[in-house]
Amino acid sequence: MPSLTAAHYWQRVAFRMFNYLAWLHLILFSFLIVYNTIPYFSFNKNFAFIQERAILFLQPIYGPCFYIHIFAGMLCIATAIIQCSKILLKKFNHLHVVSGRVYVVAVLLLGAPTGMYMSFFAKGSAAEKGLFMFMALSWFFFTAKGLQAILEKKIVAHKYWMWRSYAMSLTAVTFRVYYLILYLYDVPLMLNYEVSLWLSVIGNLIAVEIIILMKSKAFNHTKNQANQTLNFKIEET
Amino acid sequence: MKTLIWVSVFAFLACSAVGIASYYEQKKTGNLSQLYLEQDDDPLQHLILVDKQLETDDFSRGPLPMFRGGPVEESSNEGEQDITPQKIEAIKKDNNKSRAIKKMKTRNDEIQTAESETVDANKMPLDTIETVSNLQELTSASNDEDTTLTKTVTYRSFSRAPLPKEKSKRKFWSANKTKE
Repeated sequence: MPSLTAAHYWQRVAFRMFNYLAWLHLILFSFLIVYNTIPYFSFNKNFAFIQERAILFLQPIYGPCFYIHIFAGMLCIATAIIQCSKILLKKFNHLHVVSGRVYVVAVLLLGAPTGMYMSFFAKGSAAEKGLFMFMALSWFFFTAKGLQAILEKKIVAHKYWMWRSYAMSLTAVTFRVYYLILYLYDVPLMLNYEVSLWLSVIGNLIAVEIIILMKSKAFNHTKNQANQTLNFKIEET
Repeated sequence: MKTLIWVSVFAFLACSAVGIASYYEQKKTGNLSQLYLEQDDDPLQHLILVDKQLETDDFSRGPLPMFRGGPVEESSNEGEQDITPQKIEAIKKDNNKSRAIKKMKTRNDEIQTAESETVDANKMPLDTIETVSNLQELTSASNDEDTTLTKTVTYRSFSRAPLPKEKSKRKFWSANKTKE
């Protein structure tokens, strides 16, 4: 085994630090979203978010769809964090299975269909409405593919599809982060809303594809190495 | 599990169909462009869920008030919390009024900065003078309703006809002399 150079060592340390920091922020913001969603279940209409959509809430379907959607979103964000932990996956596999089922049901039966309905009345232009529809559709598709993969015992494929699904769930978090940053830079509100929305959806998709590409390269590299050593051992014998 | 996928596909399609139907219904009635009531206050309230208690400096509910959720206005009467068409109309009216006042406020700020740069009233452009007079009318009209505006808005009245340069110079020198 070749020894690590100092540059490689520090590169690894920096990568790990970045990784931990990213997870810390992700957990923190996810917790905040869940924490902020809970007061809505008082069914009080005096929230700025609801007041802005007061006319929509007069419709018989929009209100129930909204509450189902935020409930599903809350469940997804809360359970997805448990899913990503390697330690929990190894030590408490049962927890992974249970929370995974909750996540899948929340997305497929509750979050994505209601999200699709609400996307027709989304704030913004036709492009933003289309983006919301794309989000609902891709969220549903990625989760369904992930479920299908695990039913067929394809673990790596399941992992990658679920990461894509999680990236879609996380648009709720990243959107708020972008929105806050742009607000601090005095970007006009409507422009801020539109830019944050596009950045969060497209940015998350690009980020998850990059991560999958990196992981699959690393996976293929270790697989090749393992094959080489196996071949060498076979030749020796 | 496969049943779940089929049920969810059905739910997804049903929601899409209902969405399309109600979208076209709204389009028919012409309400589509008026679905969102503009809220002129802090924009972070809509998405980061900052509540209005922030403005009253009440940070007692948690360590991170910036991201905190919660009702905008706590109402003691439960009946008042329901959304009614009258309430929506009232919000719309309020929005229009506050938007006009906000515009005037920003214009007033611009005027004040312009004033600090050029003190001479004769150099003021005509449209600025008109805006100031408009502002005068607005503030006098909303005097009874909005006291906070009259507190913050300060303005100088300018005559429309500019003074001849010679006259103003003479005035300036004579003022200096009297001071001496």
